Amino acid sequence: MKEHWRQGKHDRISELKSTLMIFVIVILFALAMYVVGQQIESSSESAEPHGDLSRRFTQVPAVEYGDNLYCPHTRLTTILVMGIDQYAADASQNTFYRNGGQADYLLLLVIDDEAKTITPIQIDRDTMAEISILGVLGSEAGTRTEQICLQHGFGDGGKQSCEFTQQAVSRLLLGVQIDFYVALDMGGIATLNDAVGGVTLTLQDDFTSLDPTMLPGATLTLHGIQAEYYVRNRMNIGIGTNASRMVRQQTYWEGLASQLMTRLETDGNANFIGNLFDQLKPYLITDMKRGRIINEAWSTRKYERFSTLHPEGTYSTGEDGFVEFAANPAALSDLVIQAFYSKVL
Amino acid sequence: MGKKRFSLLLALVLLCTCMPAMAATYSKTTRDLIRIISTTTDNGTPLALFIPEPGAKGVFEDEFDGIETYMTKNSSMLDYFSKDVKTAIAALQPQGADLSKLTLTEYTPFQRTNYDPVMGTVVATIAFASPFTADQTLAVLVGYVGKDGKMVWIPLEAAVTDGSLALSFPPEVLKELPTDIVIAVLS
Repeated sequence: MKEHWRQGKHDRISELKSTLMIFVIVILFALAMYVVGQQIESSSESAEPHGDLSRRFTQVPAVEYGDNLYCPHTRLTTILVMGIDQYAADASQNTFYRNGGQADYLLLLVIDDEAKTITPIQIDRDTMAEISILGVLGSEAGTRTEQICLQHGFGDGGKQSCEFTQQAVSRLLLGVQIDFYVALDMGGIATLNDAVGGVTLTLQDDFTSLDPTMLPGATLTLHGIQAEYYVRNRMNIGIGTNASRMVRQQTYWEGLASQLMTRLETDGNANFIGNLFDQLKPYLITDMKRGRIINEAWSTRKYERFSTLHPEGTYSTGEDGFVEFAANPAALSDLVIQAFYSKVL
Repeated sequence: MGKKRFSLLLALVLLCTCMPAMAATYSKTTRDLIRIISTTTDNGTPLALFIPEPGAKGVFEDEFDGIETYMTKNSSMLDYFSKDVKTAIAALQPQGADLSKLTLTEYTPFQRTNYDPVMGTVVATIAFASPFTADQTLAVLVGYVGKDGKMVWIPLEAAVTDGSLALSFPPEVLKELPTDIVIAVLS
């Protein structure tokens, strides 16, 4: 019996030792996993905090202007639309980094996704502004003050020229951010016009030297090259100034925008914009992806479109005999505040 | 109607008719950034110097293509030229000028006519697209096609005036120049 008791005790001790051993092993294993896990976590990039509200009350920098405080709009998308006075074929023969063609039409679209508005700002091609000059081998050769349209002439006639123009317009408008550019050469005007079924307007000037049907006072739907005549030509049209051409360009733009939006509403989808983009592709230089353009057009179709803003200033003739438009600095500041800021109440 | 009133009316009519003409000026292009401001000569007769319309690809464009190709593989424009030309360029530079980083900034064909030896030294002040400053290292050369069909390059003295360049053409250079020349500016 005593033997039996001793055996039983021995068995219990062994069992206890085994259990303890297993327990220790499990603990050691868990500890090892913890240490390894910590090492892995510290060697990888630190994870973004989720639900971090510490920046909730960070203030957007305000500017003092006049007697008031203004805050910049925070949900803006800005797109610089350019009309280039050149056909794509001419641009492909670009040499000397100076034949990119002039940006004769400049329109900055300021899209406010919070207020659901679009503010167009049309800039005179003859606005005197700081532009970047390239040497004939493409090296940067300084800056000078010239008509802003000339900026696009420097560069490759494509992306580089567009980026330089984007920077020049940003500088002119006191450093505002310009998110995207869309440049259309002359070959695209008729295609764009006809894709929307033609833009209907009333002619104020006599275009009969170009097309006998384009009589002053006539209300007609422009087709094909008529659209190019209307927005591009100015010599021997009316008083022949760029200012009068800008009025026609604004009229055309507003008619075009209206027809585009109507088409989107009628179709109930944005397929038309995608098709239009594909048709215009041979004439377009843009840093906007196809999908972005489609989404932007669709999401803004019901936004309120404000009247086009024009920087105020004065015209003169430079010593080289060319027209110069000097934008009034105070008026420029007013315009930037109006389009990009709102008063802090 | 009195003479005075008639004259005033005539002036107003003329003003109204010429205003549209003034208004309808051609739009400026990058080509218009290069212009000849003035030419002065010893005897006061201006040298006829003008920028020709862009024409067919010629020797000047071939030369430019050669320079462009050369500069894709080399960093110093100076070494493109012959030893004699390099020596002549260096001779016109201020002491200690660093010529190692010069690149071709301007390259413009011109045509000159009516040169007469009595004109002596001709100073042509030309505005180029690039804005130049007085403290910049510059080398200006006039090039032409020699009798052997190869390009000849001659460095010129140049001074910066209000961003433009006043180029001195001495008589011994002028007498060698044909009608078609090209001005190259290295900066």
